[in-house]
Amino acid sequence: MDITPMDIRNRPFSVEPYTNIMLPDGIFDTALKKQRITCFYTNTSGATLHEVTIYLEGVGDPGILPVAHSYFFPEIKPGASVRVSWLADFENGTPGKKLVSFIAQAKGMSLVRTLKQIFVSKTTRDTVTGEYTCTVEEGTLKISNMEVIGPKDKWQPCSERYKECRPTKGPWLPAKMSMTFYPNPSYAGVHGDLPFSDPWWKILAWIVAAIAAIVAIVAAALGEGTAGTAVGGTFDETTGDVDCCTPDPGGIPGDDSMTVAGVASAIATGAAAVGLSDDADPWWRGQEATPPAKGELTVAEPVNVSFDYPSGAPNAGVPYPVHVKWEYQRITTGSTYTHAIEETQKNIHVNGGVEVEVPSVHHAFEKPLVIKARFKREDGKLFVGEYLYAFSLLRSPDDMYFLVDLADDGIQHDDKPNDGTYTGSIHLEEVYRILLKHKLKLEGLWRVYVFAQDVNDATPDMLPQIAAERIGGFMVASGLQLTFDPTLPCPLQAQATLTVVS
Amino acid sequence: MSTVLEIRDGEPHWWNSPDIWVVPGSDPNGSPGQPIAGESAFLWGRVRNTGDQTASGARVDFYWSNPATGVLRSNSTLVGSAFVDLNPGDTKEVLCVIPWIPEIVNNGHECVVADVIHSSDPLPTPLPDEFDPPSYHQIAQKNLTVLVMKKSMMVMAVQVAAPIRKEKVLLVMTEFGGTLDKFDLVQAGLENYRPAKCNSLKVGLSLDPSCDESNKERLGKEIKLHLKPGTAKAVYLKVWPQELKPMTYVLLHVISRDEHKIVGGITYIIISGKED
Repeated sequence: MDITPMDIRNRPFSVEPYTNIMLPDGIFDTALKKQRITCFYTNTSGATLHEVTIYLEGVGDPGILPVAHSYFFPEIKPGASVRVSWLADFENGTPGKKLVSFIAQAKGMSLVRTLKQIFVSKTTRDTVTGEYTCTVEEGTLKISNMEVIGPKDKWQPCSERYKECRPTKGPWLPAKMSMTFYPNPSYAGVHGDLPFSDPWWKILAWIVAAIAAIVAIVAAALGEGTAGTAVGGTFDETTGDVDCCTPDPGGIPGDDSMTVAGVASAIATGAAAVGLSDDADPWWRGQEATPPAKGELTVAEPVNVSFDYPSGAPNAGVPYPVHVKWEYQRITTGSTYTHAIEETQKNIHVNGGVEVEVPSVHHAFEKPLVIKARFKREDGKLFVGEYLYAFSLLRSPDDMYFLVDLADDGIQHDDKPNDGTYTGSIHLEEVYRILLKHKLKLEGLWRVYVFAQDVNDATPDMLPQIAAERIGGFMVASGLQLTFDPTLPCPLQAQATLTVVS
Repeated sequence: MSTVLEIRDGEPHWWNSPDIWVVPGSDPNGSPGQPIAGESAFLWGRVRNTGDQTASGARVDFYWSNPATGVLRSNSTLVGSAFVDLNPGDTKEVLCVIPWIPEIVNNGHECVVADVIHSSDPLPTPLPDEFDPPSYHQIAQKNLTVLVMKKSMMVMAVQVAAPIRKEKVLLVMTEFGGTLDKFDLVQAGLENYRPAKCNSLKVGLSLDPSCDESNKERLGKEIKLHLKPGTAKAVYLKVWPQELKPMTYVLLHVISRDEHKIVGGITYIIISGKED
């Protein structure tokens, strides 16, 4: 019997279930209790596979508890990548690389077991000092001061219902960070180990910023001390300058408006990662510039950085500039060395345009509403298949949000896998019941917003410093715009609209 | 319509299940073999659905415990769990992807138990303290240990325990002889071994862990123990050197029984070896 020809080619990534946002570089963190272990499973053969079952067999950490779930696909076309995910409790997980075992089996074939590594960090916050600590096996990053440009006090009402938006849902743009990396163990020579032997140290800073934002969003929606997060608190010395007009998270129980706040925070905190450069981050560059004397061990590496946004607030998918000033210090057993840089970095996670296709008029009870989106690369070619984690939000006439996953997998309403058209569907008959419950209307103008994050495609055989340059989790397309200018219209930009009739 | 999930017991000794094995090392897909104390290993199980209803998301739990003739939940440690989907008639191998590191104090000689849990074929509630594999098709045990013969007497501690809230009078005894099938030998990392021609094996059971050889002749082949509920005692198995040809083995069984039935056992595969 042939072995089912399916494989997971990229590292599985974390999706935060309240906001549906991929965490920085797909790394899991124990500060967020619930996360979705998400991956793309690819039919690597030249033939269509039939009646395919996929399930997660186990996670290689007794502190990480997945929920059993099996997916069934009537068929998976040649080359198609299907997106699958499993909810898991990470609260008692430990930092490090963990094996995850997945099983796929097609009809008439024997099962295939795929073992992939996921990366897990552990972020905590000292409630007395406010200091964040992000721990991985290779060391610990402490962030003692995280100044941000927060939301304005006066929110622009996007609609009558959101005129009293609470400013607790972000976004928060990084302005200053004081960080120190403590390698484990102290090392001799120019460079220490990279976290997970893969991403730059800056990813840990991005993780901390992202977690601080998600914690605040979840707290705003579900209340402080919620079961959703294992850390509390938020940012230091917030200044109110940024607008994004996100809906009130938790405004309607059960809707997906937290995703909008999550997208805003992903764009904003991602700016820190942009400022710290994808090619080589301040730690790597600082290490190169400060070779220690023979016999010295590096024990701590502080980096103080400030960010400025000369062209306005950062936005997804555009090459926005971030002006940064940073100073790296190498503290060794014998001396202290410094290296400082002031420069402008540009976002390289960009798109060359986004197209969204929906019918102009949709009859709610006839058939599912199909949403199609195409995301162009900078060179005009389309992103395809497993290169994007994509989803859309559908906004009702009364501003209730519904999440619709988008996939380029050739399944159901998606005509062909890997053709660059990401497709999702939702039947408004089911939505109607929810709207009725909240006394909201079905008929009228609906808005569609599409979003996409890139996926880390580093492979295990890459050298760590090469793999580190491949970073995933950046928002490369978003229906949401951030702005510093309160005179601009509502920055939640619908990419398509449709009229729903019954 | 029913689901029957089975992890097979061993034959003739139920504690030598062919459906549980160990892969030593850091690669779960490596060759089966004996675990090495202090080093990582992976546990595998094989589960079959002999019913006529699909079981989706069945959970297989893997436990280890000290070498014991009757393994209890209360003195076992959960290594981890794995999920499996089984259609009627399916047999699937299941990997516990959480690495297991056998304790150095036991020198890698430890018992492994696996059970499969699914709502359509449940175990009793509350779960009894005894795993009792012969009574439950969902549970099996692997108590098969390779013992490399040394030039001097070897002493192995064997735990004998009474379940919580049950007093036990247990008779612990030794037997030797028998053969293993090829699959068992492969799982033990002894693929090309064959049974040794061996008519006697000098072994004894004692409550004294010392290596004092003066009372060698007085040691018995069996010991009777009175155990209060929830308590355990150690019985020491002493094995004297035996000349064995290379690539041959002898089976030594330590069996524990109460007045009704055999409640547990350990099988040692004794092979020749050079002393370190």
